[in-house]
Amino acid sequence: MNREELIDLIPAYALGALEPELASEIERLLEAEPEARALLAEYEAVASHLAALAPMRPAPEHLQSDLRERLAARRQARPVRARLLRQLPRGWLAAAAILAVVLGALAILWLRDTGEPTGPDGARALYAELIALDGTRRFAVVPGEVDPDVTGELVVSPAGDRAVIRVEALPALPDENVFQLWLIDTEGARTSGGLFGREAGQAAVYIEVPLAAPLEAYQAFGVSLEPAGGSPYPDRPTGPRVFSVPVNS
Amino acid sequence: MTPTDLQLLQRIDAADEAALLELHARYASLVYSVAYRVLDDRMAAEEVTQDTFLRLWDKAHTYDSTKGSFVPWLLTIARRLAIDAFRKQRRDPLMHTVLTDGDREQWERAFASEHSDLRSTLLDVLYELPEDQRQAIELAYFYGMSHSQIAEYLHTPLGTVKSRIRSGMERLREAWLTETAGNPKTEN
Repeated sequence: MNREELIDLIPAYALGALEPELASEIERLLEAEPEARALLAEYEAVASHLAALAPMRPAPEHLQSDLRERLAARRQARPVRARLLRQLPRGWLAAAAILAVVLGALAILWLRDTGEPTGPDGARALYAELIALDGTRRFAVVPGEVDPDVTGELVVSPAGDRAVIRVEALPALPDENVFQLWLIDTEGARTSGGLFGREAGQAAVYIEVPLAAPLEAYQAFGVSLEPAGGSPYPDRPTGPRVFSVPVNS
Repeated sequence: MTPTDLQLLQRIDAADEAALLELHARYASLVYSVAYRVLDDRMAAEEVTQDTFLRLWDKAHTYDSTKGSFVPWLLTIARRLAIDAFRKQRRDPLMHTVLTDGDREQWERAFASEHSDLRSTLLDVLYELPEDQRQAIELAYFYGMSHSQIAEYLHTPLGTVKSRIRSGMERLREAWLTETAGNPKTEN
């Protein structure tokens, strides 16, 4: 590609619209030519204002208090994480002992809070059953602020009455914390779906979603990181979001 | 006296949560609007909004005022987070959005609030871009799509897409240069 053709691509480069190979060619040109860099700066200045093409929407009022709570939860979680990390080098036995206590507590909490007959194994079996059905619906997991690598999917039975989330790359669970599932209905009201943990070395975690109504009654499901015993509030999380699964907007 | 954005950023860097909440009060709607434009989903947009401000909490020290004003920088964080979420949702891009005079006024105020001297000329051109140029630019900007992805999505020849983006961006650049000629303090 000659120089003039590359210069013509600078606007697209400023937008991030070039494939990697072309972008590399532009970058070589930029390194060599101050004139090209000046042109790019002008296009970048323009691009930085393209947000004005978004229709304005007022942010929901509850976001301010929600942010305040997330900051408070981070304040509480950070020392726990730091303490756990400091303990790890002392030996695997100590870490394993802590993990065993946490998992034992989680197992009790799971049974107590969900009231569901299925534990992790049951959820795994239900997942296998649902993905084998024709008409099963699937929704992608969207990672939250705890770990951007969380991935997975929600599968819902064709009738919309049974659902399981399969999630991978869940972050390590800090001491004194649990994951809490939330069901968010179409009005935005949240109800707890129970607490769960993650076993050491477990690649994927299966979480049965205790639907109290057909899927159409919900806008999303989500999981937050909470103190042991779960959120002190029955209708909202206090900790950072681990992931969400939007299903109906 | 009302603190400037830069002063609030310095306070955030010193772990002052009230400063972050103040910036949230100022700009949550801008961030939410961008996230909603990408995701077309209320809850997902809320999550991206909160993620943006938590990212700001962690990364306030990385903002460099010599490289541009704060609002576009913040919105770039929001847009990138929204694009990441959009790619995981596997939805189709939202096309044919309608912009009102009210939208235009609010964006003009938002960009003019600090050092940026964005004036009406750029917004005039932006809001009056030919539909095909605006569409191609929006797919690149709001959805992170490349030339070839846009061509495939629009069932349009690659050369046509390149031409639309180049022409649209050139119109905007000319408007930008017109404004900066009248406002020598404009950054960038």
